[in-house]
Amino acid sequence: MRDVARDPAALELLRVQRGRLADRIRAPWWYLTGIAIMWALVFAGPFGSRYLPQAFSTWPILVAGSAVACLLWWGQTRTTGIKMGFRNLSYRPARPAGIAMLVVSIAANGTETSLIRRDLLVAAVAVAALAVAAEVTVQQALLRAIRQDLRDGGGPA
Amino acid sequence: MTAKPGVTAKPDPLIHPITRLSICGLLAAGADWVEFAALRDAAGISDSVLSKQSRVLEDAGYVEVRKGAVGRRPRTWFRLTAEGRQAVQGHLAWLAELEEAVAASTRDAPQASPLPDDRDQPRRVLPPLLGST
Repeated sequence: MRDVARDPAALELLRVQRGRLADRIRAPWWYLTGIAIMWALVFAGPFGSRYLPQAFSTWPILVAGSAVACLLWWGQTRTTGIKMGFRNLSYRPARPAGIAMLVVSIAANGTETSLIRRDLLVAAVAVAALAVAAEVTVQQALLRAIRQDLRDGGGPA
Repeated sequence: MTAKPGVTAKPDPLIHPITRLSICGLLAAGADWVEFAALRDAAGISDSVLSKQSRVLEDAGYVEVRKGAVGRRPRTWFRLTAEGRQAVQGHLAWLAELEEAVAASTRDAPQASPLPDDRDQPRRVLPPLLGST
């Protein structure tokens, strides 16, 4: 077995290996599609509370969104072979993306609600579509940040 | 394993061999759990080597192993224990200090200058090479 002390490239080798591991965290087409569906369900909330009966307004949409999120997490774990777990805002690399996600979702929901109240349905749909596209982009940024963190070996786990 | 001047962190003999260092270093990268195939591919080692070395690490209490199956395919997941994480961090700190010490000693070493007789070496070597065509 090779001795690390006689091999000055040991740390460099580890950096390369971590890079290889990090490269497994890629977003395949189905993942991004799933993320888009999940956020579309979230941004369908204001439409649901206005146009659907009370019993079908919020909870079924939330449950469906959570189910899609769980499926995506399971699929991503299975294809990459890396289980990342839930990362909240205390996880520094994910913080900018997490804050951006929150801001976009709050702003989009608020705007949609106000537009629907004024019966500007087309504008509300456009806002929802833009918000979905923004969330998918932010999700890609989040994956990039996680990849970089794995490369640097600075994860909290 | 000899201590170098300026190196204060201590190496861990169990994760000193490069295969085990690779496994532990990858598990310490930030993922919660890493699957057998992902770890094997990233480390660039064979199935048998990973099985053998992970068992050593598991026996030492550095690595936790969880076995499961997806359909008929067995799946093995690894993660570092708290003890293992501490050992890896210590060992990586030692390696970084060692690397720094080696780099510093290389910088401080006097630059090798050619001997007066060697200055003519290119002129002695090149003509036969050029003239051979």
